[in-house]
Amino acid sequence: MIESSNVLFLSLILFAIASYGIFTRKNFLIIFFCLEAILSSVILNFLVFSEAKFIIIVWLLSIAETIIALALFLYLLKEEGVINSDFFNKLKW
Amino acid sequence: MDLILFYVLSIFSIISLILMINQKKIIYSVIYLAFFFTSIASIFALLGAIYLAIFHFLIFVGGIVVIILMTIMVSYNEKEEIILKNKNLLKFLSVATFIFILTILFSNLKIENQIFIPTINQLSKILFEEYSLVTISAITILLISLIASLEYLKRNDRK
Repeated sequence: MIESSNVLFLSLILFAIASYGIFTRKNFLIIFFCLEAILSSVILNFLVFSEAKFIIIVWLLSIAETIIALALFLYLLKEEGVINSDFFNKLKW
Repeated sequence: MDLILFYVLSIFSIISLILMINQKKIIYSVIYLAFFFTSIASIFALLGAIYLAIFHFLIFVGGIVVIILMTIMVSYNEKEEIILKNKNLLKFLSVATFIFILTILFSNLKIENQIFIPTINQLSKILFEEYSLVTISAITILLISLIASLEYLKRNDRK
């Protein structure tokens, strides 16, 4: 029998590792993969408390995020020619 | 038995996530992402969310990872090319043994607590009657994301 504390601890570890990846890496695609990992750890967390509504919302949100991130990747690659997050400064003033 | 399988899958997911972050080439990190998604989907199945596991596996591993691989192959040129070496056989053997062990573990699996698994008819009834607001908002989220991605690509095409 799997205890709920084990699953919560696993989701905590996954969340921590993925957020470490977001903070340290500068490649756009790897940041996006880490976001996916964070969202799946959140789904794991909701599954313990059996919150079906939140699971549906977060799961479909991760798919929508994938669609937008891939389009943004292609856009940035053609417009800027680089996907390093240090060079994204269009919204700075 | 359940607990051992859960520990194996969780260790595998953690290791694949760490390897995904530490890769220099992006294609390898996509492959480790696929491993991560498979392990997470099997953890979902282990916890009793069968439909979530099936759709997670189908959409994320079968759809999204393949689309990301295609996008990287078509558009993104890394300076370092992938060189085939003899180590590939070792990697393949390790993955194959892992899948073999997993199949043996799954074949002997007995679920102790009986979980309520709805049929597709019951699932659609639940989605459209009890959770109708959630379903409608999810559909709008997907539609908006599709429109936004089309807008990005169209703006790119115009110049």
